[in-house]
Amino acid sequence: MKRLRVWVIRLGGLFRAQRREQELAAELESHLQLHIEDNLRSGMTPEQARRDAILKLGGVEQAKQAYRERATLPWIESLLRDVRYALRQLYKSPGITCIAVTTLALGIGANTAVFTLTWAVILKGLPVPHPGRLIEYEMRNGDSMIGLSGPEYTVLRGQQKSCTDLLAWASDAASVRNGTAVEGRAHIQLLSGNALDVLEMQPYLGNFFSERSDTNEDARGIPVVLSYDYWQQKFHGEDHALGQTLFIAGHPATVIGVMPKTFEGLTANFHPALYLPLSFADLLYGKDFRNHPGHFGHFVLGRLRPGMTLAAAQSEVEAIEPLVRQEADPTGIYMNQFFKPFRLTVQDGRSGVSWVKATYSRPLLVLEMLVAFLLLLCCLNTALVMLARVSGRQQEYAVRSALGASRYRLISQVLIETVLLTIPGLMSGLLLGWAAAQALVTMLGTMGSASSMDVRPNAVILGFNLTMSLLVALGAGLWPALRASRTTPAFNLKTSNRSVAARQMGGWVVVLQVALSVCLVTSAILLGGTLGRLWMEDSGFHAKGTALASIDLRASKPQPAETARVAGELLEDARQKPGVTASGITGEKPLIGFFGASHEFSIDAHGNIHSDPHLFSIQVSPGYFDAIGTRLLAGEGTAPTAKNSMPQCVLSHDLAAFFFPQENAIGRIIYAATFLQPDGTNLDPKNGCRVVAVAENARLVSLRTAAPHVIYEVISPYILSKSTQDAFSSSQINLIVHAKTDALAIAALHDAVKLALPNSAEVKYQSLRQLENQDLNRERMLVSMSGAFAFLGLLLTALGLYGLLMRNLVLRTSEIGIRVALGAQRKQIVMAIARKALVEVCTGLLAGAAITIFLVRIIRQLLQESQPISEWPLLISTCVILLVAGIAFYFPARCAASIDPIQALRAE
Amino acid sequence: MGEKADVWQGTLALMALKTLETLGPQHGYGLARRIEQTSGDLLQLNYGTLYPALLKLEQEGYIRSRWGTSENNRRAKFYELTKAGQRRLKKAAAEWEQTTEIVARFLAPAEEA
Repeated sequence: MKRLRVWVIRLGGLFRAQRREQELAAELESHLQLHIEDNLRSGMTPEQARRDAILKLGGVEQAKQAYRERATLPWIESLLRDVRYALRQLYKSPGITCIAVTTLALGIGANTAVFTLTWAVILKGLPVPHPGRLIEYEMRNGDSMIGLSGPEYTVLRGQQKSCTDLLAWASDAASVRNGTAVEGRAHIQLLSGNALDVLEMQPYLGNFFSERSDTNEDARGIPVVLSYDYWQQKFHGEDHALGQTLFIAGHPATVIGVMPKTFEGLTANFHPALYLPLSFADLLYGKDFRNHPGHFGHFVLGRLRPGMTLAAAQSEVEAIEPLVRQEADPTGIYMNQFFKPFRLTVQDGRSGVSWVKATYSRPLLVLEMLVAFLLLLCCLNTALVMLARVSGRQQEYAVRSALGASRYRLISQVLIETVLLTIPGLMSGLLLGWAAAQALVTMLGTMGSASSMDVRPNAVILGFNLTMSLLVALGAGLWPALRASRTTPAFNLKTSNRSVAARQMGGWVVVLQVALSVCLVTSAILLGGTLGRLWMEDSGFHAKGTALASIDLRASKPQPAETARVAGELLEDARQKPGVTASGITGEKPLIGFFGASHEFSIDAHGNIHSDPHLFSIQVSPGYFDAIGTRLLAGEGTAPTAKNSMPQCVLSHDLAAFFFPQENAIGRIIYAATFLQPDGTNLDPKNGCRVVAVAENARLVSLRTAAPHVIYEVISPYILSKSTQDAFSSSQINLIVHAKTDALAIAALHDAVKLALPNSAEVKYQSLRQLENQDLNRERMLVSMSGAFAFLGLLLTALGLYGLLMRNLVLRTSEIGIRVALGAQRKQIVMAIARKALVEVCTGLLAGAAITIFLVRIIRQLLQESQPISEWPLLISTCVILLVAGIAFYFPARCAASIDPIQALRAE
Repeated sequence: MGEKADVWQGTLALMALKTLETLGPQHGYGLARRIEQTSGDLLQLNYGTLYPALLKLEQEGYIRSRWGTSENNRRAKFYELTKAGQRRLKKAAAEWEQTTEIVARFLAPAEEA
């Protein structure tokens, strides 16, 4: 407290220096007079008296200086003086200042953009106490993940010991009505009653559901808790919201509370408006949802007990998984057949469940790495600028040093100048970065989930960028500062020829710049190549002119026969639209990234059993193959005509070759495996289907992954309902049409849906190309970002090279002038200038190639790339950089060649 | 500027506070003279060093200053002890006594031997 008081007073002392000086002078004067009078009284002569008084005071100037240092903060004073001086210096050369600021702005902007995304996607946790102690249980198979089934959650919750408790939730959207006012559809999240206990948080207003709400025995009706935003929007943040009744999907629910503002649900970027008890699922989907062993729609979070770790929880899960699978699904149909490859796993749950995180955390790490390279490049460019300024002021430093400036003062002067360059760079960089982050989110946003990603600026992002820019400033300024401070006044004051000191400036900066550019450009080409390959390679279907409508009939709860009728009408209507060449229906939307596996087997001509437990089984209408453009290599994809005949199926090429090696698959029978019976024992024709055709391989799951083994069950839409056991998929129709253009296809879908479904069904229209883009969002983001970084890197390198050559040229003007006067050819002059630059660029290329080899290895590992390494990206980037270096070199060389010896020598 | 100077600075501040307590409001010159006299002229005080020390005490809130007239009608800046200064003096004096006592105990047996 006292120290603070002293500081404030001393800080204040900076502003009234003049008055203080006067007062001190007066005080010392009165001191002397008092002393002299005393001395006179003791009998000294006036002269003696004065002399003695001054001697005893011990030097007026020293006393004043000590007083001054005590009265203010001397280092702040000199800092302010340095800042004023630095500002004057920067103002004097606006061009260079502009370039340096722009460079820094671009570097910091890129850093801000990537870090903002990294923060939003990876680092930000749920707004609850100790989010790092939350773990998430999920069913995972490589890259694809699903939730847990209701029974699985119940068994796991009872068996596990790692967590204090588990909570479960599910997400959906539902129509909301408030009295007579229709509020439209809103995102809802169903939470188990213990959710807030596990999360250790409180509702902002009112209450939360109790555990009793899970069992649906709560006699008080359905409770609903509002999100803060919804409460603000619809109830204007007023308390009377509590106790109101909302009709959610037609069911009355009473508002009992409001969630805190920061809490935005447990699924990242989903932003639910309403929270309902998990038991509400019974009303939404029927009892099946929570008890069915095959509906993996529960997401589960747990809070680790004190002392437990994620690894311990993982090993516990591995130990109890067999028991959980057995108890949750006694028949084994789902756990040991359809979802066999999915294993119960534990993940860090600090962000809840985030598909964005799962998909983008690795690419973002790659981008963070590349942006670090870019930032280093900016740092080098700024260092070059500072170096040029410093070397131009050697004499000034010599004078200051001769006048007694300490080395520390010279260093701090240069550093302050660099930091001042960084400040506007930082400001514009932050703005640029946030704009870029918004743009990126919009680009990724076609998925719907990412579009609402929160990329608002916050203290962490600001702090991180401030630290980074300070590091850049220090990194860029330190070397020039040290160089400036190593002045030898005796030498520098004598030499008017600055070129001696400045000639060998900064060659290694060019080497480093070129090396970094090689890394950036090669990475961009590599990533671009990957995207290009995914796009160009034959996918097994045609995206051009193909569109898909996903029609959700759940709201009207149709009977299977009704669904079949609608499907049939849709097919007919769509086919008759102008420009449409084919229409079909599929049970599975293509390119969504995962599928539930089926297990089937065949018996070949030699009696060998071929069994595949990881099949992608799709029900399609006969027109499907024409509509999506998957060619039939043999046979014809027709549906059985009679209701009771054997189902007919089409195999993908690889699957046909697997089931019937070197045999004709047409006309053969594929059997579905039965649980607990070895393959080949149950040959009941009811479990089988007859192969009518073989189709080409198609990368239906994702363009990124190899074509799966697909078995298409061809069914007539009119009997679609019969073979469909699953109540969920039967109320979902995916209609595909192929037309001349995407627009025609979408229009045809719209018309067909309007005709067949006049009432409001939920329909989503997408062209196949949009689906492809979504599927490759990750690659597209990587390519656009790394491409931008590479471009910036090249620009910075070119600028750096150009600036350095130009500067060296200016320093050597008189030398060149003499050479020309002595009869040197232009070619020789250019060669002399070029030789050094060429050596530097080539050294940089070599160093860059070496770093790139490591970098590429890391990137490939992060992105799990499996294509063989190619040397082409490196070769191409080398050529690109040589070209850019050539352009940067052209102008200085032309200048050098056109130096007029008379002019040059006169200037000397 | 090692530790010795700090100790000196500290003792000078203590002496100034104590002198102000005994004399009441006093100007810099009077204070310096009085300190010298009290020490029995054993201290060679450089009067100039007193002013930064007084400024420090003032910044810390232990003394306050105002311009006034001396006994022989000269304008001078008078310093006087504040409440905080009195408390500080009490505490510092106690600490100092304790320190000297401890040091004395260390030195005493050596003198006996």
